[in-house]
Amino acid sequence: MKPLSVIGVSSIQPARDPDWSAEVPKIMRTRAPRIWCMAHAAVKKMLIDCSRTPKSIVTATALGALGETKNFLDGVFKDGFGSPRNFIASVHNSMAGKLAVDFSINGPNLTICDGQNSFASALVTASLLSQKDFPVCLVVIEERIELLDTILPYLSEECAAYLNRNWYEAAVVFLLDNNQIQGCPRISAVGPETVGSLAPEEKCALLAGAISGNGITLPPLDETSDSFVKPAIVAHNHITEAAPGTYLIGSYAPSAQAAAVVMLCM
Amino acid sequence: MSRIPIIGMGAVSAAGHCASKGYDAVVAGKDCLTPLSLFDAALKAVPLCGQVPDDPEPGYSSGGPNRCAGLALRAIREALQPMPERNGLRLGMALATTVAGMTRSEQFYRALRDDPGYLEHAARELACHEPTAIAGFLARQINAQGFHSISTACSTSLHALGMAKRLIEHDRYDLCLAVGVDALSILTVRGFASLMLLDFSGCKPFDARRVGISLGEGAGALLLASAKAARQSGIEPVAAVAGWGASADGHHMTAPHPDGEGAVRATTAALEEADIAASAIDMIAAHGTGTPDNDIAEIRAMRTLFDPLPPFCSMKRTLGHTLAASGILETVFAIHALHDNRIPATAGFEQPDEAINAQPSPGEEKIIHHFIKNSFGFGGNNASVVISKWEWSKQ
Repeated sequence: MKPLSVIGVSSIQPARDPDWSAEVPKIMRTRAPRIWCMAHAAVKKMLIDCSRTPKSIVTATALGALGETKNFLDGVFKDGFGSPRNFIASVHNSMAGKLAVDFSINGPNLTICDGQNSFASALVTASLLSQKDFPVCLVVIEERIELLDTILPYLSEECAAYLNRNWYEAAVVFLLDNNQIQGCPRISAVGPETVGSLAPEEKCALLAGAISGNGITLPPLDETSDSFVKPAIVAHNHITEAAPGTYLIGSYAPSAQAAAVVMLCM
Repeated sequence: MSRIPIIGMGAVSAAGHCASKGYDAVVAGKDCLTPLSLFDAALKAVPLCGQVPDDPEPGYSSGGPNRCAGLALRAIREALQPMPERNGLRLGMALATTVAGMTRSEQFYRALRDDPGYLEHAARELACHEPTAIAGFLARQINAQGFHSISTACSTSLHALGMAKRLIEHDRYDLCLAVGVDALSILTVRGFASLMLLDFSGCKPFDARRVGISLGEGAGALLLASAKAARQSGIEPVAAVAGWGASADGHHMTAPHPDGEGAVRATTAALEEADIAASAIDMIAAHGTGTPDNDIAEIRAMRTLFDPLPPFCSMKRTLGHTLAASGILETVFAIHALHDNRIPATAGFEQPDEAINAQPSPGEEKIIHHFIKNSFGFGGNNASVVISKWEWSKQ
């Protein structure tokens, strides 16, 4: 894919920032699902520091608004009545739809669900949009709910190894332009691709070679792929640290047996 | 942007286990809805739904980890039939689903609520919960190189079709499957019931008596190819994807914009990409869900663009609203109609609605060169595609 320019970036990581919701309107904070508030706060934070406004949205989420799904099913199974508000919020694209309403973003509105590869898959998706749809607001988002902490150890060993080591919730936002802009980081991705008979690390190395040429080191997968949002957080941190260089970020989704690689040029 | 040939199609629905059988029901305006029997939704009444009958050739769809995977695999295998050997061509997939593994996950969660000891079954029951798990499973079954999983409610599969078109145009793949699939689940049946959007007696698209939707399940698959790959394969394309348009209403989380502003933008973008005038459209395969607001907003939107309004139809009473599958599934049948030069009848429609001031086609013969397919979803998410008859001379 043709690299995209990163013209804005932000993140909300509740574990590190207990006051993350301060900028969310009070009525939304008290009534809206937590994951909607995280998405809203992260986009608002990004727009404060950016002079351009997004025309379209690509959201990347593995599990979506899982808390709302659980709440809806609790209502159905316990009381015989599932709340329509929970149902509306439970669909994977509810965060993207709410962002379109909140920030009047009327262009394409896509939600990509490729596990740990969601960030890379969403980058490829964004690169497919038309010139008129840029800038694209790419939002990587995942929430942590108590039920998952209970269930995850019972998933396959491979899934548990990746998911449970550092289960993490965050909303990470990238504002992307498809023109090369002086001074802005450039980002591209390849995948997800099935690993076949290869080990995940071997597949990532192949993809890294395809996207970058040889000679750039790919960090170990357990540093970049140990939670759904980690690849995006790693990219976000490189951008905010502003250290020149070319960085490769590998990811592997055990549930799909597929890998992807993001390349960031600072 | 270019016209991307479609060289294979597959469909599984309440109307049958292959595209041609499904089309026979669609074009005749047949009602294929039956009382929901897949599970007990514990509602005040049993709703009519579009349920896929048991597979007469279970070998084609068995082995999948859940119902969505099995339905999708069946449709994909039909779509790939014209091209059993790929001769080194790169195959990708854009998978559209909203339900994904929920059919098993919700049963697991119900069992877990009753018995905490059921946790030990988590690995088996949740292994394919995520959309990407189904995409990965399907990709392994057909040796696809890569895939993208997308989930935008009822508009999902037209976005997948648009992405598949662009993936070919950007030379990511030589062949790309656009697949839409959803299975009936407690979550969706109870969810739409909670919104009071279910018509228990069967949906009536564009009819004055319409009160809501009928849910359905199924899978549709379209195999797209680069023109070069299509030519090399020797397969005569069945149609071309000419344009894709997408937009968000930015208006409300469930209700469409009353004038269909977002729908107008999506359809306009699809026409622009196809580089054809609105007057060239011969048929609209409408979203046509049968809810009071959606049907009126869709026709208002189409009137903004088309004068006169081309013949239009809804397939929802034949198939049910198959959610993330609906866009591609109905496109498969509309492509059959394009070949047949016949506008399908709209099952469930009897009484015209003055507020809509337009009636779906009663089922008529008409030369069809181009048609529009619309899908609109929760979150004000809109998608339209333009499908055209394939002509080698236009490449």
